[in-house]
Amino acid sequence: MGLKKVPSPRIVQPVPFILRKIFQERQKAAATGQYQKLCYVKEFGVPGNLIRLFQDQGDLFYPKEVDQAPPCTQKFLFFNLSVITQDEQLMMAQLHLKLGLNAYSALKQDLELIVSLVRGPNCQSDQKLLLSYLPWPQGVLHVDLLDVVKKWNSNPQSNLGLMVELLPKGGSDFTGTIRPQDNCDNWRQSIQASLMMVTLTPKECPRFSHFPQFHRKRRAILPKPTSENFCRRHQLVISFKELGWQQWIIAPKEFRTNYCKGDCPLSLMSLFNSSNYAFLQTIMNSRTPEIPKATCIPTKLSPMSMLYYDGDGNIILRHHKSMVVDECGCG
Amino acid sequence: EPGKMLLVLLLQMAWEAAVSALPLALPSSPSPLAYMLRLYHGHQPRAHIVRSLQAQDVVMEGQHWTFAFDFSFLIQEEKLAGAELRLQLEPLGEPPAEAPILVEIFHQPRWEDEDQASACPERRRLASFVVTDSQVSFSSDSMVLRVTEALARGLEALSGAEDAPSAGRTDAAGGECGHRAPEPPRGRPAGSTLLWEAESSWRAREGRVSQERAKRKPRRRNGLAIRQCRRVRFQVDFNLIGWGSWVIYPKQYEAFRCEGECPNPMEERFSPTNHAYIQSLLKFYQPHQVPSTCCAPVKTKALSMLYLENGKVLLDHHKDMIVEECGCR
Repeated sequence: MGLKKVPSPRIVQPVPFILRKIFQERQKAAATGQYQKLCYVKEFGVPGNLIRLFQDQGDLFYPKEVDQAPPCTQKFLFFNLSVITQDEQLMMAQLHLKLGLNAYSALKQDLELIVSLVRGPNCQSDQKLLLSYLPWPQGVLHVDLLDVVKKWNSNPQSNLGLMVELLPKGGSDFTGTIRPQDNCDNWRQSIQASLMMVTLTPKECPRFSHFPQFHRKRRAILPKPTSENFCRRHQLVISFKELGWQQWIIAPKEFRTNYCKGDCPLSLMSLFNSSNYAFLQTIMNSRTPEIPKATCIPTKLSPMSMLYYDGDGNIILRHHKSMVVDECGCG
Repeated sequence: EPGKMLLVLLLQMAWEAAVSALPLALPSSPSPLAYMLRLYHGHQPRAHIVRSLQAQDVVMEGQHWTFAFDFSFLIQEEKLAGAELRLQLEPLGEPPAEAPILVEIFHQPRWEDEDQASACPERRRLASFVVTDSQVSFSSDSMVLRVTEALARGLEALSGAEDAPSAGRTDAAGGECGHRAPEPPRGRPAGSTLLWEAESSWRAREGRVSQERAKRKPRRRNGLAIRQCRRVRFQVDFNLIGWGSWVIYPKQYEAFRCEGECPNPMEERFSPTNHAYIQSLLKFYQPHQVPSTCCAPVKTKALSMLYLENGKVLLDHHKDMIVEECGCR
């Protein structure tokens, strides 16, 4: 089975729902004699015959050179990828961040989450991989790490881990504003990280090793073209007064709503969270210009709590979904 | 023609022990704003919606207090997570801690038609319980009764017994009225919830946006009315885009696409998200601050395709290939 010795797990992690589902479906298909593609993971939409879930070992591998522990709002993540063999092709690498309620309910404000690559021996983190608003009340964030893991895999020395950091939303002045009431350990333990990876061994799946890139949907958040004209998120804070809503909305008075704007050129479609229809429409536009290109629209939105009067004079506190644009894409 | 019936729940409290002089002043009209603001800024409860209902009617007869609350907002998908009856008490004297409190929950349909209402004062007891020590607490100037269980029981009895004969009814007014099941609550559109709230809040105030909308005429460019966001035909031809060599079937297909203008402010039929609705409203008031929302697919379906890969034929379903519905995003 490709294992060097019989495994003896130190900590038994719960099997995530998605893995259990894949397994159960395949088992069912095998039992009923149904044809199944063992070299394609349809749940993720990628070719591959090996699915692994790496657990974060940041606590064990925290660099010894660092004198002091990182601030409470930071968590160091490390994934030991040494089991990946030379002949495996990396098809998908997704960081799953599960945020326990404790992690931020104690902070009592809306937060931004930053994931960055650790570059130096002292845990300096420079390259930002993700900036996202936290979902309420808790949830799992998925971050595409394929390009990063490919680099780690070709040069294991470059794998110095990742840093997760929470900041107050809006982010200008954050020093001293975060004072978790819990102690740091509790706080950090409420962030659980794992790395879901799909690889492909060409020996076992020969015909998939050159999978035609039928516009693989990439939720790439990694280095995006930064040209002003391309589809991207624009920051915007509005007050409810501007909407004429000040009479019935009690709080907040203003909020960061953001909006999407920009061009969706064919050459960069794969970077813009675009869907198959948007991709096809943009290709058709390059042949017949009267067909318009895809448009720049929100692809990820987050909720916001609001306090307001309803039409009957009752006071409502409600978490309204899709209030704040987190990411834009071409759709 | 019977008037529209709304669901009203009555909470009736009675101080069981006869206290010669009620140690409480009359509860004043509750001012829940401060309490709700504290919830908003503080530790929010684990619920999606917290409503502070204003009592529609308060009747006080000695030690019998009756509060009427309009519960017609309740929709099927909501599950009651907690309910408190908060009574704001005038300068607190001795709280009636010694006297057991009996809470009864009644259902009474509210007819919008006055005649119907007086003819059919149908009231049905749904639940009753004696408040235990753990269910009552005092905070600053309020007495708080936790009524979650009884209310949940009552609501369940109500939804379960809608079609059943009205056995639990107490003050039925007579045969000719009969028992009428409450109408389904005011329907909410499937789109943005905030749009609905905004519209209903406006309705309650001045009906502003509706007026503005009524004033607007369809925009015209070069004398032609600009079409609003809709689905149009769109043939994808794989030969045309150079994929004909590896896509075997279909060679072309109807993908549809979205085209048209998104109105500002938006209407429900464009199925906006809360954000899209807000953006359209902002565009209406401050045209230079944001762009209009975009007409884009909001529902799509997959297409099965047969194609060549490394000399082998493959059948696969590709999602997001056919546009089913358009909306403004």
